[in-house]
Amino acid sequence: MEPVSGVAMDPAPFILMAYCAGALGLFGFAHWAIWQRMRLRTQLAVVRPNIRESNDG
Amino acid sequence: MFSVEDKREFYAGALLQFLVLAHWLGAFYYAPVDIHQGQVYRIMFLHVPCAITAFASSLGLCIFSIIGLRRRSESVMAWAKATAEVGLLFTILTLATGSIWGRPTWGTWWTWDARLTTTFLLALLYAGYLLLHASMPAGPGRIRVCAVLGILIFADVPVIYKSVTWWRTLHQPPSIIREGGSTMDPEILWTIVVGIVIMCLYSSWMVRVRGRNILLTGQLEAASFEQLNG
Repeated sequence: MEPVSGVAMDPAPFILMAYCAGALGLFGFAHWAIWQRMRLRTQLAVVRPNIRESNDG
Repeated sequence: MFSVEDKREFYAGALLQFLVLAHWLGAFYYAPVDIHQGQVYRIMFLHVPCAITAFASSLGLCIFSIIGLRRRSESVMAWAKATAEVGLLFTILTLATGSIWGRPTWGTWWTWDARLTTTFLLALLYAGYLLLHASMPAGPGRIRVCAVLGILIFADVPVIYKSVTWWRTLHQPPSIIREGGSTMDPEILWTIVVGIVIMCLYSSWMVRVRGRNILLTGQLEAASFEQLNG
């Protein structure tokens, strides 16, 4: 059955906007956090080269 | 350089991101089109999981705050801070996707109705928590103040949930958990439920990664300080 839609606007741009915002937020934050982890490990390896596995909590 | 734990987290993150994308494909190809809104309703499969996750994050923040307050522990408060960051992210996504959905369906990007206003308040509370945390030096004072705020933030969530029944709102009333059961098409309902589960798992992973980053930052500062002092 065809939808009896009260929505007059083309939905495609809004769907694209919403999912792009979601992708940016979700994946952007995650990849930033991973990048930050890599940077912290690198810095810790320089400052404490004799410490192998720390208790990260 | 990377611990076994780091590698496990990276792989878990990759798997969860794959699940999120798979869910989005399901939202477009599995769930049927809505009879009233047409295709634009598919924004719901992102909006609702983000909203539920934002509320769940405030519960997580409340629990970490209670434990942090009892133990007076900086490391527990680090987890609380990570939860607040993730909660803020999901609240902003909820508001953004809701606004984008509102334009074609309600004819407006924003209205000060009860659901939207109380959700906006949640975003301000999360942001306020993070600003407060950043403005105070580490110590028992910061633990106490941030823990109390973290507990109070959760009080907004029942107000958000009940806002559509307590007040006359533009936002629709509950459609998943409601008296007499949900009237949603089962395919749509299951797609939303799966989305909520995946998003909650993904947010838990984000909290874990950020929480460990915050703890590692503390270790790095302590180690740098030791090195400076010889």
